[in-house]
Amino acid sequence: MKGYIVRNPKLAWREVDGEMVIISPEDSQVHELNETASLIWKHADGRSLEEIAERISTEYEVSLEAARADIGELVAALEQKQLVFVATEVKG
Amino acid sequence: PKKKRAYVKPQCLSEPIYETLALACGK
Repeated sequence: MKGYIVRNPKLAWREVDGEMVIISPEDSQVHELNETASLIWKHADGRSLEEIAERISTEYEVSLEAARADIGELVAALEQKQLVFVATEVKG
Repeated sequence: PKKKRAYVKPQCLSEPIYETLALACGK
């Protein structure tokens, strides 16, 4: 699983009862992430997708393979909605 | 060993802001 995930800095977001609520002012959309997706969002600060998958499989009852697949699916959706950017490498 | 939490597939639900506000104000 390759790539590093970074949140779109133009968004406003806040955690409400363990779930993330994200406001996208450019397209007037509100996005709600469930608990697991919120954990991924919190770690979207330049960490690798592999690192996040390992964290999820450590904390939750899920295999690393399943975590990888689900994270890949979620990140693709978030990227399509322009909530996150996925980079192949992080520039220091 | 440290007990793991129940896993729920990560999901993102999106909707226009005005719909959320309309629900919030009971309309």
